[in-house]
Amino acid sequence: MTLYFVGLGLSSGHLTLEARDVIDEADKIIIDTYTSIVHGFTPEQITILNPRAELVLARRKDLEGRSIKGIIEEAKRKNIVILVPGDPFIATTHDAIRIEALEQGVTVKTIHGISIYSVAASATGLQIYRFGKTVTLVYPEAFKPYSTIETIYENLTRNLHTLVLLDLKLEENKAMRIAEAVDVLLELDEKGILSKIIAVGLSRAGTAQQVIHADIFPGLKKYDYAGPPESIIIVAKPHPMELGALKLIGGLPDTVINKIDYIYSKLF
Amino acid sequence: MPRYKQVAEILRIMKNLEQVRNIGITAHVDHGKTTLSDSLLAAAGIISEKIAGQALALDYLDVEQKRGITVKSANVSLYHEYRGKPYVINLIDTPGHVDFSAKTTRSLRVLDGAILVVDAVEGVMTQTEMYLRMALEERVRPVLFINKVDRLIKELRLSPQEIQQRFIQIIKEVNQLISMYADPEFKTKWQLDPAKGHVAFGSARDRWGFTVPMAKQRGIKFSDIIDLYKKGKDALPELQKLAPLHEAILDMVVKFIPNPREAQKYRIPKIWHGDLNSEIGKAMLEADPNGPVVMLINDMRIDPHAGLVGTGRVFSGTLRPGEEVWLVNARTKQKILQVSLYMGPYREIADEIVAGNIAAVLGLDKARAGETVVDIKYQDVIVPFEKLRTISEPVVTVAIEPKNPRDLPKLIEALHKLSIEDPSLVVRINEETGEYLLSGMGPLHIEIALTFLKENHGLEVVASPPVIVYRESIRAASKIFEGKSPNKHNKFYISVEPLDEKTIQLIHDGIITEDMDAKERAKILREQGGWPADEARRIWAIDETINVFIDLTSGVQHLREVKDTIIQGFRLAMREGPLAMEPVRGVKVKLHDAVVHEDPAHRGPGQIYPAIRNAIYAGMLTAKPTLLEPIQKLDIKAPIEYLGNITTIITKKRGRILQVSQQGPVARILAEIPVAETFDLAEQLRGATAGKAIWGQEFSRWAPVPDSMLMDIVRKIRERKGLRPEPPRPEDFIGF
Ligand SMILES: Nc1nc2c(ncn2[C@@H]2O[C@H](COP(=O)(O)OP(=O)(O)OP(=O)(O)O)[C@@H](O)[C@H]2O)c(=O)[nH]1
Ligand SMILES: [Mg+2]
Repeated sequence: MTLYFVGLGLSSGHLTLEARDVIDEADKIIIDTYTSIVHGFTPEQITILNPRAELVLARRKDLEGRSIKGIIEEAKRKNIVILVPGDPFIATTHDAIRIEALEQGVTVKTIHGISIYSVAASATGLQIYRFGKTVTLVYPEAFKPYSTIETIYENLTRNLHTLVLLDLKLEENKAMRIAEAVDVLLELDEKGILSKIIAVGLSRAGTAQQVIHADIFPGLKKYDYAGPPESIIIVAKPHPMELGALKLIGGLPDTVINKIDYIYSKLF
Repeated sequence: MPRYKQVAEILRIMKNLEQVRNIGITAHVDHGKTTLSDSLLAAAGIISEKIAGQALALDYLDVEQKRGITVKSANVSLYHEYRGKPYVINLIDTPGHVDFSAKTTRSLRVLDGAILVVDAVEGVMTQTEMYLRMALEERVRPVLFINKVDRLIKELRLSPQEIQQRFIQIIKEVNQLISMYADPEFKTKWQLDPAKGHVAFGSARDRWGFTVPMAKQRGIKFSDIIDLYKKGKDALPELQKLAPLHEAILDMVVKFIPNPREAQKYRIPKIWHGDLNSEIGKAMLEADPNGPVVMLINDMRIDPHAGLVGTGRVFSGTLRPGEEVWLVNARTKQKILQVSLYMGPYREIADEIVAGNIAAVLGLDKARAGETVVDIKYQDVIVPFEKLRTISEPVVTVAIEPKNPRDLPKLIEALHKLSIEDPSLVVRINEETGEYLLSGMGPLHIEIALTFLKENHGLEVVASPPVIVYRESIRAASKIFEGKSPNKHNKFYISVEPLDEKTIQLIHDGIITEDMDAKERAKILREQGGWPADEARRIWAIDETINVFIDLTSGVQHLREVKDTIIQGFRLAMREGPLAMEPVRGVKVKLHDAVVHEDPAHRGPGQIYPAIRNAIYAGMLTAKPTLLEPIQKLDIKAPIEYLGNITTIITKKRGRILQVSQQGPVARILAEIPVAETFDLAEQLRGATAGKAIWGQEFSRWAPVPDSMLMDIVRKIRERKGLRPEPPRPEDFIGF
C-alpha cells in the first residue's frame, strides 16, 4: 500500500484538498506532535475527516530509531499517513523513514504544505533570492552554538539574509522566544556586528495571528509578539524595494532607514 | 597550665618554624593510635590527665566512641618542652581500618613525620605496610612506637629476652619496608636505629614508654618494668613516673622529625610538579611566610554551628581572615572568613597562621578534600599539587530509602553532606528504580555511613543487603561499528579495544590525567605506555573509571561543535556498560570518522548520545566482554597448626595463596580472594582457627570473573536491576 507524508502547513486552515483526500483513505494516521506547532490545529479535526482510521499522536521516539522499521512494515499492508507541520521534508526530520521505505519498495507519496521557508520571504517582503543558508538557534545547553553565528557571518559577507529558526523543544515544554534569542545571539556575536544591523522578528508567521517587527537587531526585544513558533531574519543590506516593505510591513523606524548606508558601510 | 594561655603561647611559637612539627599517628587497625594520641593530649594539658586512658578524646564522634574504631582523622596542636625549649606539635590521628584509608592518605600529604604504631603482639600487619608505604611515597619520615608491651608481659608472660627478640623482629621488618619503599636518598638515612632513639617501646593504655637513650639516661631496666607489673594496678603511677610515655614519644618527634621548613625543601619537589624556580616554587621550598598563600586542604567537615570547615596545611604565605583566595579544583574565588588552629575537638580562633603549619579555615565552602588554595593574584600561574593516590575503590553498594517516604528530601540533603565529608563515599541514583545507591570501600564503611544518617541526621533508612560493584571490560579489539543517531542524520564510526595494563596504571596513579598538558601526556604515553604517536596526541577524554576516548578523524564538518556532546555521550556510556549496566573499566574508544548534520537542531544530545553509545556497546559486545570483580588481599597470622584449615577456606572461596612464611610458631599467609566471597570470611576463619587467627584485608585489584560464572553473575545483576535477564546482543545497537 502507500506511505503518505502530508504537510499540515503553519495553521489549521492550511490543509489542502489533496491532503483531505489522502486522509480520508488512510487506515492509520500518525501525527508528528514534536517538530513544530500548527496554529489552531487539533487531532479532532482529523477524526472528523476520517473517524475510521487509527490515530497516533507520535512523540519523537515513535518516529525515530527503532520505530522506523515498524512503520515501514505496516505500510506494506496499509495506507499510512504521517502528518507533519509545514512541508514534510524541509526540516529533514523524517528523511530516514522515506529513504528506508523506498529502499524496501514501499510506495511513498508526499502532499506538500506551506512552509516557513516560503512564508518568511513572502510575509516580510525580503526577496527569496537574497537568502543564504538557514540555521536553527538552539538553547546553548549542551554546547555553545558557534556555528549559528558563523553561518550568519558567512551570509552577511556574501550580502545575504539569514533566516534563524528558534529552538522548539515541545517534549520539554520549551520554545525559544525572540527576546531570549536576541540575548543568546548577542553573546555569541564576538565581532559585535549584530548590535548595529537590521533584523526582523517573526512570530506565528503564516497564521492569522502573525506579528512582524523590523528594527535594529537588539531593538527586537522591545516588541510584543504572538508566541511560538518564532524566528528572526538577520537582514543584509536591503534592496530599496525590500526597504520599503520593511518600513510598511515591519514598521522599520525612519531613524534607522535614514542611516542605512552608514549601518552597512563597514560591517566587518 | 590554663588553656587560654596556651593558645596564645602556641600561636607565638608557631611562627618560629624551628619549633614546629607536623606529625601523624598511623598504624594497622586497633594497634592503638587513638589511645596514644589521647595520652599525648593529656600530657599537653588539653584534657585532664585522669580520663585520658579511657576517654579517647580524639575519637570524638559518637560512633567512634561506641565502636572503638576511628572513622575520621582528627587534628590537635600539642605543646612540648625539650631541653628547655618549647615546641608546637601539630598532630593528626588517622583511621587504621582500610575502609577509611582515603582519610589517612590525605592526611599524610600535610605531614612531615609519622609515628608508626605497631602492636607488639600482632606485629607488622597489612595496613602497617600499606600506610608506611604511603608515608614514604609522600616523603613523610617515620619513627616507630611498639605498643601494647604490657600484653607481652601480662598475657603472654614472655621473658625479657623473648620480648627483646620480638622487638628486634618488628624493627627488622619495618626497616625492610623502609628500604623497599623509600625514595633512594632516604633508604638508608631513614633506617630506624633503636640505639639512637628512633624507636619507642611501651603501652599507650598504661601510658608509659621509653627509648633506648632515655632508658640509659634514667637507668630504666626492662626487668624493673616487669616487676612493677607484678605488683598490679597500683604500680602504674610509679611506672608512668619512671617512664613517661609523652616524653619518650615527643622527645623522639622533636629530635628526629624535621621541622616544616627543612621538610618542605625535599617534600615539595615530590608532591608538587610546578616550576621550583618560580616565585611560588621558591616560597614553598622555603615555607616563606611572606610568600603567596598556598594551602592544601586535606579535610572538609560540617560543623553544626560554623558550617563547612576546611583543614589543611599552609605551604607558603600567611593565612589571614578577609583575604580572597582562588580554589584551583573548584575554579572559583572565595573569601577566608576565619582562621584557627586545632585543640582536640575544638578550634581556637587565630588572627593568622604562617606557612609550615596546619590550620582550619571557614569561608571556603566550595572546597573539597584535596583542594589547592592559592592567593588570588596567582590564580593563572598556580600548578595544583600532585593527585593523591587512592588505594581502595568503592566496591560495595547498598540501595537505601527512608523508612518514612516524607523524609526523602532530608535523606538527599544528608547524603550530600556525607559525601562532602567523605569523598570516598559515592552516592548515585538508579534512574530506573529511583533508588539511592550508596557505595563504599567495604561493608564497614557503609555501616558507619548508615549509623551517621541515623544518629546525626535522625534518619531511619531501609538498606538492601550489600552487593558487590563490578566493572565491565573487554579482552579483544572490535572492528569499526557505525553508530547512528535516531534521526539517522549523524553517524559515528567507532571501534573499541582494551587499554593495556601500563596505561591503566598510569591513569590510576594520576600520572596521566584528562586535564594535564596534552603534549606532556602524549610524551608519557609514547614513552611509557608504548602508544602510537597519533593516538597519544589525540585524546579527548579520560573518565573516572579509566577509559579513554580518542579522536582519529580528520576534516569532519561541525565536529568541533559537537565535541562536548560526544564526550558526554562517551562518559554516559562508560557509566553503565552493555552487559549488566555496571561501570566500564579499561576500554579505549576510537572515533575514526563521523557524519554530522548541517543544522544544530538535528545534532543535539538526544541524537548524539545514543549514536555514540550504540557504537561503543556494539563494539564492546563483540570484543570478548567480561566482568571484572574486586579482589582483596589478605594478610593472615595464625599458629602454624591451622595453616591447613586456612588454606582450605581460601581455596574454597576462589582464593589464591600468594606466600606463606613462618616466624617461630606463627604462620603468616598472604592470599588473594574475591570480595564477593568475603562476607562470611571472618566467621569462617575464626571457626577454623579456634579464634586464633588475626588478619588484615585491603583492596588489591580488579580481575575478570571466571568464564564459567560470567553469565550467571550477569543475569543476577540484571535481574536485581529490573532488567531482562539476558544481556543485549550487538545487533540490538546497530543497523536499525
Ligand atoms: N593492652 C593494651 N591495650 C591497648 C593499648 N593501647 C591500646 N589498646 C587497646 O587497643 C584497642 C584499640 O585501640 P585504639 O587506640 O582505638 O586503636 P586505633 O589504632 O586508634 O584503632 P583505629 O583507629 O580504629 O584503627 C582499644 O581497646 C585499646 O584500649 C596498650 O598499650 N595495651
Ligand atoms: Mg583510632
